[in-house]
Amino acid sequence: MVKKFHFFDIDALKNFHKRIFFSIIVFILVYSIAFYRIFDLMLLDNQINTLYYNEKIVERGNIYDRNGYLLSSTIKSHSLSVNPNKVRDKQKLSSQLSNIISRPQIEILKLLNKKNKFVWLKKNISPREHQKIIELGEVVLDTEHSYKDQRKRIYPYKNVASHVIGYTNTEGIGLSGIERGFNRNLAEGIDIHLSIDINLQQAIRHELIKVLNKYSADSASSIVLDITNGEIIALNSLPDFDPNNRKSFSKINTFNRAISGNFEMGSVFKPITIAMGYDKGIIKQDMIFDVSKSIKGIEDFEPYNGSYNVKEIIVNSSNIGTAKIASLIGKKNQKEFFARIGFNDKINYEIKESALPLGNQNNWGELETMTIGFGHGFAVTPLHLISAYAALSNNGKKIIPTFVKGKIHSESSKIVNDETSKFFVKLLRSVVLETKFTGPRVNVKGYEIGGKTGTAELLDQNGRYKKDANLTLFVAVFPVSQPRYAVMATIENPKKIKESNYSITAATVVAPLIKDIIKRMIEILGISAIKSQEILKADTSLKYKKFQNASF
Amino acid sequence: MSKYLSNWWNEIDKFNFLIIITIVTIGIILSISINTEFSFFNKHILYASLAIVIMILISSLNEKIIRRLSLLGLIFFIIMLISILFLDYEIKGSKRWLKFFGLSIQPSEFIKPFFLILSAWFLSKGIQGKKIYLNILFLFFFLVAGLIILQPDFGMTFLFAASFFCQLFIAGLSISLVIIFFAILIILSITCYFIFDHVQKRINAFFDPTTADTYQIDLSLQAFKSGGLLGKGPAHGIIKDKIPDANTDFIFAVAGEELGFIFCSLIILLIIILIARFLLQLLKFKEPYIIIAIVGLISSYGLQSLINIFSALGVIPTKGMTLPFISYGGSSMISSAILFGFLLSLTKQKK
Repeated sequence: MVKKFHFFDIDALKNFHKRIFFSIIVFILVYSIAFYRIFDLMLLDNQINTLYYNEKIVERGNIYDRNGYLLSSTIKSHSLSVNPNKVRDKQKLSSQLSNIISRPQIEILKLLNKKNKFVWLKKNISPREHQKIIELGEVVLDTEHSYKDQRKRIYPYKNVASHVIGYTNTEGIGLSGIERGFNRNLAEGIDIHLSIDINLQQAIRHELIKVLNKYSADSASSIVLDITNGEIIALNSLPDFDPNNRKSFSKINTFNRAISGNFEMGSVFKPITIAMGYDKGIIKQDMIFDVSKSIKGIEDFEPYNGSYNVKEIIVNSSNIGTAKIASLIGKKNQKEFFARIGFNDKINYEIKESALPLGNQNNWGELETMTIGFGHGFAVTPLHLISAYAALSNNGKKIIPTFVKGKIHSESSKIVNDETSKFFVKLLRSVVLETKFTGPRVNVKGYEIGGKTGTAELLDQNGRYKKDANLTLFVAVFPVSQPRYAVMATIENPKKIKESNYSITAATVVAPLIKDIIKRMIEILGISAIKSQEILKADTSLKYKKFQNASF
Repeated sequence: MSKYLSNWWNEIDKFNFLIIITIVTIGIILSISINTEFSFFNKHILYASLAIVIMILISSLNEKIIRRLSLLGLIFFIIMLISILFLDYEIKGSKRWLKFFGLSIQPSEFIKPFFLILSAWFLSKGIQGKKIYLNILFLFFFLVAGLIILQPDFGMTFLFAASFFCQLFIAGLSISLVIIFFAILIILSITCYFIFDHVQKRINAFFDPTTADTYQIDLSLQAFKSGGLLGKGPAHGIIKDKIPDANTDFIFAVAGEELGFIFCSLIILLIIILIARFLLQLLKFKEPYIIIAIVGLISSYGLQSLINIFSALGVIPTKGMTLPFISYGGSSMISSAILFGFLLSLTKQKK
């Protein structure tokens, strides 16, 4: 401080009154902005209205699936009116109309006998009724006289893809899903073409419902992703709702668990852990880990008195082995890898309900590093998980999952190198080829399926573990020689049933479901089987070739 | 006991006390409203009752004990802030919380009232010419601000620094320094924008909503709009199901949607009255320490409420700050109780 320069004004406190008054005025002024703002928002709301929706200018755009099937559209609803004075044959017309608009003939006749110049026969008739009335060719019938100015958003596929498409309010403003995420574009009359294949979507929904009912499970979800471009071909979440029917919009029904639900994913994290270690050079293929003794209370589901190599750890889904690997990798690398693979961020901005992963809620110490390594104590959404699998299978190139067909993404970053990616899919393939229970249940000959099961305890709303309620899931990638599709399904809280020997493991519950889903994909998307000759040609590395031969 | 209470009641500023109780009650009404099950007993009510007891207890203490309590509190919470950095409870990219016996505690919420009392004491000594007090004070200020910024929690750092600045301003900070301070503030904000990725994202999203995720703020504005004059009625809003932080950061939007314009205006009005009354009362006081302390505490309250309300209204980017006494959350509730306990104690009328 320079001399004569004072930090504080001398004697300032003696006339601090001025400064107090000044402060009060500043506070009041700033708070008046809040007053003005709520007044503006809550009482003069037209501004916001035009921002979101300008139906008066253009008709809201339609939503289509990848093959051009109409998923959502706005129709002007018609109402049927008539001028009774002009009707010649009232008896005949009433009987014809009674069939079309399903209203008793006597009632219609009564209306036609009125002396008025104008009566409503039925308000808001359906498109089919409208068509039949036109075909009737009766000029006195009027359907152009609209009852109010009613426009209605309709969803021909009802519950199918309801979580993706979303719904609008009665004013036509999108409130969820694509309707909300692309509200601006739709309101400007722009059509949206989704990457969803509605036929596949419907078929998978059907498969999910079958399993859901069989095991009296609470809920289910499934995602099919095109690894090469990030397009989401199908995304299901059950329970779902009918966007045409507001009564079905309960909190449970509208919750999209595939992109908003956070789950600890269990063993499906193990290949991810191996990949991060392998990529860093910490883990080598031929390393051997003793899994005979439990470590820090971590135990294996099926104890083994001996050692496993890296592949065997995955094939036998050893918690102890993975924990040891995670511990070698260390917290810093683990965190850094999760950040790189997108576990700290929302990954899809198209559907705004997309959730941020909950991640780890406890003190991230040595033990957590280990348990997170095998998928416990770290929660992500199914979409995050499948994106990670997709990236690790796609030569390590990051995937940005999208619901929009043909969206062009800027050059994406690499998460792991090609070598790691190859090793990752090889591990997944080993699970299918070498396990006793899982493999046969999921394998489809000629499609080189690789994948991993997972079972974990479910979390309640506050992030605590639920008692006796498991999440079972499976993530698959195929064909492993040139990964094109990633598929996953989750079944929440399946109950023990006699039919499956009271087993509710992922291998029992979800593996066959994944197989059914893949079969449907083969049918609907027309995926052809790979001939072993082609693979042999594509392969150059001897080691890899040996492995491939083993699959046939 | 009853004598003790009646003594306390006679000394206390009853009007301010009643406004605070009204604000707490509004918080309780909202907490009931926000529950879809409409249960009348919830954790919020528990915290609120505890807060009122703590506030009454603290307000009955005398000024000397408050100062000692603040010293203990400051040291305790500085240790907590340091230990937070070594433990690793990371939520959404920040380390703000500690877990004790299953309770999550946010030390940066608690440290404000204790610091502001002590800084008032040190400032009052400092302006009497004892420079050493000022040096110690600034050392502690930068220590605490540094610890909070490391979490990182920019909103809280800003609030902490701004409340301290208000104290300096009332203590008579020379006008040239006030200008320099604002210049530094602007430079700092710009630096933050370029250095920290998530700050940049939020600011960009605020100025150009099409570039990023504006889900929360869109919904929040929608909630106010749909609330209208009288609101949709308790438990009839939809925003609370859609925004994860509805009961904390966006509680004002819930109030807007379910209880309407009149109710929101009431909340703002009560806050303004509370601030204005505490500041006006200062005119009666002569002691610099009391004046500076009260200014710091009430500014902290006024600014925090303002940031919360402005965020919900989309006037500023979302900051992740609670609305004192109204938002859900134990840390926020109890620290507000301590803050107003101090304020009520300092404004007591000695008889």
